[in-house]
Amino acid sequence: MEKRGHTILEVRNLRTHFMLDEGEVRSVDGVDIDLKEGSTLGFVGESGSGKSVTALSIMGLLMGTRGKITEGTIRLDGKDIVHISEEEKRKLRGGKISMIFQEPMTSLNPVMSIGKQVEECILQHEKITHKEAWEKAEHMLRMTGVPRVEHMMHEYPFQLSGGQRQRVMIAMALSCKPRILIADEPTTALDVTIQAQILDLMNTLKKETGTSILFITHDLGVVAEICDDVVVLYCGRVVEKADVCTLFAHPAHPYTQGLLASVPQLGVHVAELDSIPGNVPDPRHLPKGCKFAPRCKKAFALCFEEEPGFFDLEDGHASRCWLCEKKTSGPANNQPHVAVLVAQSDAGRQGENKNGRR
Amino acid sequence: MITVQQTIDSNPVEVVDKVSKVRTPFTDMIRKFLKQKNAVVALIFILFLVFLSFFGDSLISHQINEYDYSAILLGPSKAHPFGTDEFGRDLFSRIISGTKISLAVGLSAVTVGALCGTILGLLGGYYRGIVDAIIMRFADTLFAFPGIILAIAIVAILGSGLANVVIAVAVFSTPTFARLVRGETLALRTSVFVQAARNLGASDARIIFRHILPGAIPDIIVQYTMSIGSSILTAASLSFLGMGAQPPTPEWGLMLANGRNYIMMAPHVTIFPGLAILFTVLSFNIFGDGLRDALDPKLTD
Amino acid sequence: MFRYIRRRMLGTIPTLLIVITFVFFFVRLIPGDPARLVAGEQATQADVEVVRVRLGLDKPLGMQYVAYITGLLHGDLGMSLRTKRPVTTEIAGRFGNTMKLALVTLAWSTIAGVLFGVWSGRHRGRWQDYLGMTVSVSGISIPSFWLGFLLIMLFSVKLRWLPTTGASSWKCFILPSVTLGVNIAAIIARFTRSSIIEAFKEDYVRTARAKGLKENVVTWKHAFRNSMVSVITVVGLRFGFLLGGSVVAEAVFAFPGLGTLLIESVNYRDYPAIQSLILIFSLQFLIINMVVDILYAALNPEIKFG
Repeated sequence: MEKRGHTILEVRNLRTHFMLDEGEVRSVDGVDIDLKEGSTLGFVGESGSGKSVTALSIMGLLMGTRGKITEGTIRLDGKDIVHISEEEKRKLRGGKISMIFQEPMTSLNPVMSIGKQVEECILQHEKITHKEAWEKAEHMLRMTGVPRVEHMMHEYPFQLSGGQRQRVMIAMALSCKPRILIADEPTTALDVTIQAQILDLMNTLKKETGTSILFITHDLGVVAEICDDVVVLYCGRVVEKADVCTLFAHPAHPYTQGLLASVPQLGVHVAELDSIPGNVPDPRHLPKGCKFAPRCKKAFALCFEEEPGFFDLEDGHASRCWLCEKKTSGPANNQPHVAVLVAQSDAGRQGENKNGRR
Repeated sequence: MITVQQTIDSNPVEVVDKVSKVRTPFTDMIRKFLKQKNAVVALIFILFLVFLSFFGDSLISHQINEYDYSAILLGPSKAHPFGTDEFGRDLFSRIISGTKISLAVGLSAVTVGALCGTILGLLGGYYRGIVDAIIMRFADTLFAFPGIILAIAIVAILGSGLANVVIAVAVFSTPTFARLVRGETLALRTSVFVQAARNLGASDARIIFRHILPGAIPDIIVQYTMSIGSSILTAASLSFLGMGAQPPTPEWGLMLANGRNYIMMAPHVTIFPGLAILFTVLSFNIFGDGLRDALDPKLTD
Repeated sequence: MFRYIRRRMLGTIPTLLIVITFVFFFVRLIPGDPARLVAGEQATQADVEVVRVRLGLDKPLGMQYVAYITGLLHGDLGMSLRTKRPVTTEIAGRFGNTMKLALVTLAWSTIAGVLFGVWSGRHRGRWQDYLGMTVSVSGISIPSFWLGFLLIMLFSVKLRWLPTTGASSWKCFILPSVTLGVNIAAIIARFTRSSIIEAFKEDYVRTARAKGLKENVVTWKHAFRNSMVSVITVVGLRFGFLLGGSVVAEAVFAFPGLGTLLIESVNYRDYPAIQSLILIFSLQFLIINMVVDILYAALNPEIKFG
């Protein structure tokens, strides 16, 4: 495990709601995050769970949408960044907090050269000359491992592949040495082999620039690869948080367990893939009580009545499940078949972890 | 979502309630349209104009060609709400009477143009090859002329008069529709459901009219409403230039042309017909805008 | 890139030929015997025939067509039946005025339209947008000749600031230019607005904001720079229309330009003049379209470098 510093980003009870014609949609409904300096926090959830909206809320990029932060605090290095002016928020973006997005193919301006786009970010936050900014941009691109950097600086996005564009995005995002990098599914749209390269790159650069990463994904494999801590999101709420080893070894929340169980194992033959039954509920018609209850194999009466609190287990591990209320350790003593699966995935993950993590 | 079990179990009234909130693309479009207040107002105004076209003549008190030399160029008064023109004719009655002319000219010209253009577009886009090349060259040639020039040229040949104005406007509207429908046809002919229909042995005619045309209809409708506005303006312009309606037709553009000589002493003779044109065209354009926004699938924020 | 330009220029030629041929036969459809018109009402049939030979109208159509094309290549557009002077002279006298009017109008209406459209689109859904949309839809709905009259009533009659007719001083250009330009500015504004709204939805705008760029920079350097291409296309098309559409504005102000020349020629059945004018209008239009296409290619890196 790497050294953990103080909490660089603290989010408490964040609620972001969208006022649509059909009613209010509560995309993010009470999210807490603690991002420790120098670490990588995985932010896991299915589509529609509110992970991207959380990221946009932190960045202050809700303009142009009908979303608004209705409640909660976000603190960067202890300072509130929600109730500040637009101008101050703008200064933070790109400089202190950067973000890269899922679609590298469309995230770059098609009519501007690569060099100009990276340089633009640098010039916005640092008072240096064009020449210096250009050189810095070139240096940053070189660090991301793109070939023929001098050429690429003058090229246009359409001349680059998806992987190359994502590297450019990373170079842009890290060019001003931000404190935090929010990565919203940066590898989802890329081939698996490129994916591995990009993740490698992020890990390496993170050490060089000292950036902490908030890594949003739905892919547990990626989480195992590069995250130190994990937060699991469901219906706009955090349902479990833990460090990565604990999460994979002793998942406490039935949703997390279901996610882990539904990943097919290489070499293990099963008659039927274990999936979580049902669908994510319609955000306009959320069920009463625990939001996961309708799909939960372990749900009982109370689950449908009242929403569970976020109960602490041990060592920073917490879960929003009634089953965890009195327990102080993982729920391994509850369902035998889950325990077996967990043990299997545990073994698999431990192997990967030892090799995959630097 | 209602499951079958729930349907069987529950009260029929409740089921009907739930089902009646059905959202089809059509009801969605209506709902989106109704939300735009200005488009709705425009539609109401258009319906009012249509009403005037049919029943206007029975509502007016004066004859439209009633010369009254004792009352020339009078300003608005109780007897003459819009005043009188240079022959003492009541302007109000003339303007109301002119409604049906403008609407008829606008609608018929664009309808003919839309029909011709749609057919050409469908044929060109579907069959491609020589047919398409010819049609496109033809459209390009027509496009090489600014609209009003083409209209003037056609009227120069055919002579003045409203019928010829209709023909002229229809001619220069055709390539717009042809291009539009051709584009849609090109896009739709490679779509999956057209391929499926072809595989099932559907004839060309069936594919074109049953599958491709319905896809193009929303765009055609929007273009249609927008074209009405500009065709009314063109018709009025031609009349203003002396090439359209002839006296004593109470056409708005013509009234404006006549009033030109009296700007200094009787501005109302030009102001009122102009306002009539403005509001008519405005309502068609606003309606068209509203329709386009309602039909645009991307506009759900 | 140059290959593209060459290809485009070559592609215009067939259309040009078709247009020339089209105009030639078209004009001969105008009713009335041109020889009689030139000879005059009182002339005898014999006189008319003399005129006919002199005008070359007795020869078969095919030969007339060839003569016409040859004439075109030499810059000879025939004789005006109305003024008895070469058509080229008539046109040359008025061309400058119409061109000046068109250029001035295009300049201000493009700038006004773009600024208005961007301002409107940027504040989509708020009062700026509603105001912008209302003004621009009124702009495309207003009959230009009526607007011209209103302007005359206000500025010439009541205020006596500006002249109503002629083209003697720069003041004469103001009212016609406004009359002509309002419609165009409105069209450009509407188009720019929808273009920019689409651009704002794009991912790269989100990236630009994520970089912490000022909203103005995001609007102009990123969103507008991408819409610019289609805006230019629309502006180019409008310029082509301007040259012909000025007919009405010129008529209102008795402006000595090509538009009024066309009207006079049509009323007189002066078909050499009509023919040449229509040809010139379409030629300008085709050339402008070609220039716009080339500009489009120059601004689009995919075509420039691809």
